[in-house]
Amino acid sequence: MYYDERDNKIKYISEEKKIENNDYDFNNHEHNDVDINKFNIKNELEKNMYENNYKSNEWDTDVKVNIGNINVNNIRVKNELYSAKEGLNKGNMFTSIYDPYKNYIYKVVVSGERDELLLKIQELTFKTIDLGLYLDVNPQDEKVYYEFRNASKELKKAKEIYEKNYGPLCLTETEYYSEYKWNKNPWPWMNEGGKN
Amino acid sequence: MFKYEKLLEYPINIRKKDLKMAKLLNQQLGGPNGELAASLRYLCQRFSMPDEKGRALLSDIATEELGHVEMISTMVRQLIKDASIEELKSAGLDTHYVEHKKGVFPSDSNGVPFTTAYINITGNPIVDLQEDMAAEKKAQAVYENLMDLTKDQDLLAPLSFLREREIVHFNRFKELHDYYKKQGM
Repeated sequence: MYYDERDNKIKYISEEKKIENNDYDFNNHEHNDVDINKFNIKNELEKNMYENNYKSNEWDTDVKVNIGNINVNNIRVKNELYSAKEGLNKGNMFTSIYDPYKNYIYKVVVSGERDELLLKIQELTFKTIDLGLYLDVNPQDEKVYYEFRNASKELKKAKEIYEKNYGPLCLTETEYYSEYKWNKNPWPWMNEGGKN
Repeated sequence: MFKYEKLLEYPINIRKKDLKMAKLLNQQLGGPNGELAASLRYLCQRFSMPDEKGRALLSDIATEELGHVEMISTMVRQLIKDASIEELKSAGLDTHYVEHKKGVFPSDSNGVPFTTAYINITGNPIVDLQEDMAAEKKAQAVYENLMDLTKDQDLLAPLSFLREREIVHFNRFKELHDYYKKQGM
């Protein structure tokens, strides 16, 4: 079920390098503790331009913008969020505060349509939980709210498909069923196909 | 109020029974730095948070911790469910069996029942948040110790997930704490 990334050392090392060198920490840039040299910003003026550009960004909710590729002063800023999938594997959506123990990194691997769909729901649920905690304290961050909103929409759709095919995830979900189905599908702690 | 969703925060499927680890994992269910203590701590503290940020953060982390209680309970149950009496005895879980059979009970790894003496609610948001930051760090340390004690990937994967969540929670509490400090609290 789990794939240990340490088995593939090259992959793991290159991934760590990315975390070291390419991440721009949006959360802390106001406190001046970001290493500006990382991005070849040479003077105060350029630094201000960078920050103004970031702050004045307006998000069009109809267009999907790849926030990893915003080009400011010819600087490529790496997306500071992991994908939902990577986030669930790591237990953290934010590259800036990710901190593994003894290089333990696992990937969740499931097989079968039902489990894959459930995993997708778990990934999106995780993304909304983690971004939600951040937004509780930083409600003004439009970029993260945009991601949060998209994840919530995607989650709603994934749940609809799951519940239509495999039964309710919530007690009050009744749209697709003519009989009471809440007690029909296995509970989350039951593994091996519902064997307890 | 709370609504239950029929899924775990992180998938768990433990295939190998391991009674020693079941006993040790109980530490994070009903121990002083466990998930139940964390959840109750934040669920109660949120009522005396001074603003929307605090009320929202404490509510949301408390809710997530309830999900972690479910994760740890799931791990304990899956590790223990196929055990024979002899195996329970040799793992030192006969003392658990005598009262709880193979049920899940919030005690620490030595069987000491959970108590709310593990948590504190001072009503002072700064003091409460400092306790929360310490609690998250202590829980992180316990997860690292648990990870040292097993080689089973089915356990290591969810344990490393839970450990990382403690780091995220610590960072959020610290952000809120520093924000309140800046406000002159």
